Amino acid sequence: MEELDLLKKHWKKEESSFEQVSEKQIYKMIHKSSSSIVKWIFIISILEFLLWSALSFLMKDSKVMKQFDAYHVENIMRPFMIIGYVGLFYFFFQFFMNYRKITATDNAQKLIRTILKTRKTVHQYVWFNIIYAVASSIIVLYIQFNYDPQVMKMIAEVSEKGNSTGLVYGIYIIITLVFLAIFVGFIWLFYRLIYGVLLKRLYKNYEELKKIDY
Amino acid sequence: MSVSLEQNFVRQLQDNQNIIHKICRLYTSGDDEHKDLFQEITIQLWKAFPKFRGESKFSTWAYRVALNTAITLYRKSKRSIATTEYDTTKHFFKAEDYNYEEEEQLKLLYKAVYQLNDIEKALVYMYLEDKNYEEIAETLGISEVNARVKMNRIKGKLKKILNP
Repeated sequence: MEELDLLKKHWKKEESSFEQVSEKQIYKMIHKSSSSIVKWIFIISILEFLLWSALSFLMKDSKVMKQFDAYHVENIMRPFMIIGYVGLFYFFFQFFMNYRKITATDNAQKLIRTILKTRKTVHQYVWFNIIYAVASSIIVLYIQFNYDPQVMKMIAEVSEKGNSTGLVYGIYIIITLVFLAIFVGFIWLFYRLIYGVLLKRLYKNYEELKKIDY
Repeated sequence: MSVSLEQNFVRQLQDNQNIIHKICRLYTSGDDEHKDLFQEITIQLWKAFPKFRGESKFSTWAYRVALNTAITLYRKSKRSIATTEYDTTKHFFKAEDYNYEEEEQLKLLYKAVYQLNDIEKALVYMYLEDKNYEEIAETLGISEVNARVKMNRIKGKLKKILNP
């Protein structure tokens, strides 16, 4: 008998010998993508963290920072920076926990919960960044009004001439607001692009998962 | 309740999973590898499923996508030398028709098939599944004559491997 025909004879019998995969296992296989999306969210958050750290490190010796150092406003700046790092670490940790949970689970219900939680964490993270940006602008503005010799000189000159200093403050605040709006808009866009795409995919997965009734 | 695309897919795949198991049987040489390829094929099938219009049977569509995955995708990853071999007694025979000689022969046969290249394995799979040459040719995108020639070469090659 030809070799292949012997194989063929037994080929049909093989069918009963395969360990059958359950529906649940198939669902799990095709939802692997959920864990890879959450993994990406985690990786991006690490990269972001590194980027911010690198930026602040590089800025340390810049002219602006030196100027700030000269004002001796460490008591304002330091707690603010600490809050920023604590916040970053907190979210970094949360993303990591979400990632661990999502890779460890094989239960669709838990997967749904983790997906929802990840979405919430990302939203909170974006809000944290926006609020932080607004707060830092206010602080910088405050420092400039109170410590920057040039600004103080200008205000003093204006008031000497008997004009209202309100105009100077007003112009400063408006300029800051415009920059702030651009900056916040940029942050918002940035996060929408990066996390928005990932979250959308995650949500699609979630919608499908919801349909499973166990 | 309406059946979602996903539910539809999972059910059909579950009913037809032996197609994938059989392909894994030819393309892998151990249980872990088998499971890996099974998962890979499942993911590829799921990705391709929205394009499946039901013009052919699910089983026909599935085995073609599965073969393509085994041929192209699986080739990319380096296959490690399998350390765990199939438990052949489990896979081939029930206790009542245990035949040592035949079992040994089958074991060698599977080993020989495993040595073939990926396209040749696909041909063997379709041959074992009783696909006609027209379908084999269409699936692989070659002419019918070419498919026959290739099949004959495979038979010769297997003979050579088994009787060196």
